[in-house]
Amino acid sequence: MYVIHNAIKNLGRNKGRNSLMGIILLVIIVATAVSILIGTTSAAIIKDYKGRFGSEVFLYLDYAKAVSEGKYTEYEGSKGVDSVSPAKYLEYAKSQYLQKTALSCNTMVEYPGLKVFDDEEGWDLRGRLFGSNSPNISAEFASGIRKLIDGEFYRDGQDECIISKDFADLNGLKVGDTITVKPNKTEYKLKIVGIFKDDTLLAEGNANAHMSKNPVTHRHNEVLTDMETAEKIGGIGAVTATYYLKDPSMLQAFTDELYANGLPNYYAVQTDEAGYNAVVGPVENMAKITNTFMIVVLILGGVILLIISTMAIRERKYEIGVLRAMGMKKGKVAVGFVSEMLALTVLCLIVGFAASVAVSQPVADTMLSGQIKIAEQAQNSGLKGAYTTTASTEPNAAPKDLTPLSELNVRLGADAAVRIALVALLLAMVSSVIGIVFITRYEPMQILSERN
Amino acid sequence: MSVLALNNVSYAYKGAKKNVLSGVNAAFEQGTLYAIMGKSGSGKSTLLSLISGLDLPTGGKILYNDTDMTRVNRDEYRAKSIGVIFQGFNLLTNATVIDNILLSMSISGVKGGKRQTAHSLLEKMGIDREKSGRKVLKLSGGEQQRVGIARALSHNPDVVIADEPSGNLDGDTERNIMQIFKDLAHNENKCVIIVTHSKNVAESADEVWGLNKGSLTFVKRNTPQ
Repeated sequence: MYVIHNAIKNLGRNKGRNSLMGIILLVIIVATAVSILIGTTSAAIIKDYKGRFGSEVFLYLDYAKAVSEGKYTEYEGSKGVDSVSPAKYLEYAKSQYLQKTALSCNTMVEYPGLKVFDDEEGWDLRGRLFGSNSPNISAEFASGIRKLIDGEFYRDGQDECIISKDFADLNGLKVGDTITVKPNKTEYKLKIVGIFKDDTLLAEGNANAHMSKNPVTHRHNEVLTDMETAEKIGGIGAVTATYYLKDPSMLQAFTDELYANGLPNYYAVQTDEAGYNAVVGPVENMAKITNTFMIVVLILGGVILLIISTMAIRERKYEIGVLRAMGMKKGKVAVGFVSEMLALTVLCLIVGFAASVAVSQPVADTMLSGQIKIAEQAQNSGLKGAYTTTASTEPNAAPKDLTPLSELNVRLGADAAVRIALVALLLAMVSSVIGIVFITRYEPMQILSERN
Repeated sequence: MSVLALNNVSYAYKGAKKNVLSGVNAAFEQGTLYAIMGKSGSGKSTLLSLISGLDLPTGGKILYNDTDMTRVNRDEYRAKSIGVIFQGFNLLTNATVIDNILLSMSISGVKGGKRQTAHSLLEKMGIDREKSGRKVLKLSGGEQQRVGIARALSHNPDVVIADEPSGNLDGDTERNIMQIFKDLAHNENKCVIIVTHSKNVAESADEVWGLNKGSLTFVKRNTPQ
């Protein structure tokens, strides 16, 4: 106990040396702590987004591969390409690697007796009937572009549907009413169980302004129902499937399973990497920079601490000699030195924690805005790594919001706090190691006779 | 029985061909004040380093209470069994006077009443409470010497070894200090070994030994006054 007591007293006895060591320790701790705080916050965001983007899997035709295998030719187009049958899409959905699958299909229909938007002469078909196994996980409902405002979602196989408020208002329809759809010569009755607010036109903006008016492609004219009902009415036709992996790391296993189950090898299995890069790229770059910065600071700081410790230990050689001559054991002298360094480090850690928490947010903001600017410049100049928006493989999917993350809410979590404390401990050890080597190497007489 | 015995002790520094000490034989008993006299370079300080357990002889044996020093835990020995007053004081210069004494007592494992004992010892050496709170470097050479003596006595050792203890002291203080050493030997049954140039100090000792070219010889026994 007296060893620790003496070590703490020593802090005040050697103000000059300890102040210098303290300043260096503080600078290293603050720099490292800021890097760790930004790093851990970034890592959490990256992990979250990786989970989101990395678990959403699409299948698409890889034209380059199809061409190289002679399945796609200039004259015959994709005639030689084996399309994936709807049954296959459903079979793939049974994979053990999936947590859920968003399946959708659509077919063009007539609405006998109902008015439609963009009603132009010459069009027999008046709209589209969409089947989906789970409307609430579709991109548009998930993003809020479409929102159920009345009633509920349809149930499987109950001949139920939901329609847009605009379509309902145009025809004076309400929940509980029945509408007739006619994909071919047969008419089917569907009960309206829900009405949704439809902002798809606002979201798409003027993208389709140049297109000629067509009631089939007008989004307000869509009637949404379940897969079973859609199949009964018009066959499931073209199926779109989005598979959601249980874990992004299962991508390769799932891909292997798809090819083993007959997916032609000119179909690619891919996550939305471009979308991920667009949103998270600047944060990822910032995390890389802060990590590199932290490593440089730790190495440089460690070397500086070692040099200063070496200089300090020469000054303390006499003290070691006296303590040893008084009978203090080598181990206790070493414990005293380590305790003194630890006490100094704890002081610096407390100040460093407060300083780094205060400084890390503005540092992160500045770095992130710099990375976003770099990404924008790269995009403008068409360089690799630029973030770009990609068209979704889902025909009825709304465009995703691929705005890069512009805010990073830096927080001090337990994980970061432990890491910072460990770094401080490491620094204390680095600072003490020279003293310990010295203490164990020399006998007191040697030290005192050199001095005398 | 002698508390310390030197049997044919020799010592050579690493790499040196010549022995600093050779064939040293002596026995030191409790209750006696010894003076070892010798010229500079005669090996006095080396002899004290060996007796005080700071180093081991390169030849022969040093016995403490009949136990070979190589078998004694020398850290414990330095902490508890002996008190050394160094010629260069060897005090912790950044620490206060009282902290120097208290630390020595803590290392020795002294329990309870340490501060009071330390102040009492310092006052005996002429260091008052005000001075005991000062840093060692703020004291004169003589005062530092007295702090060194107080520190050596602070843990009540069996053997007190002093290297030129009166070198920095004025006449009166020297007489006071020598009286303390005499009391330690005669009243407290300590073995006190003093290395000195001073004939006055040698006259105060019970036995005088001479060290010449690494060889220790008995000179005389003073009659008690």
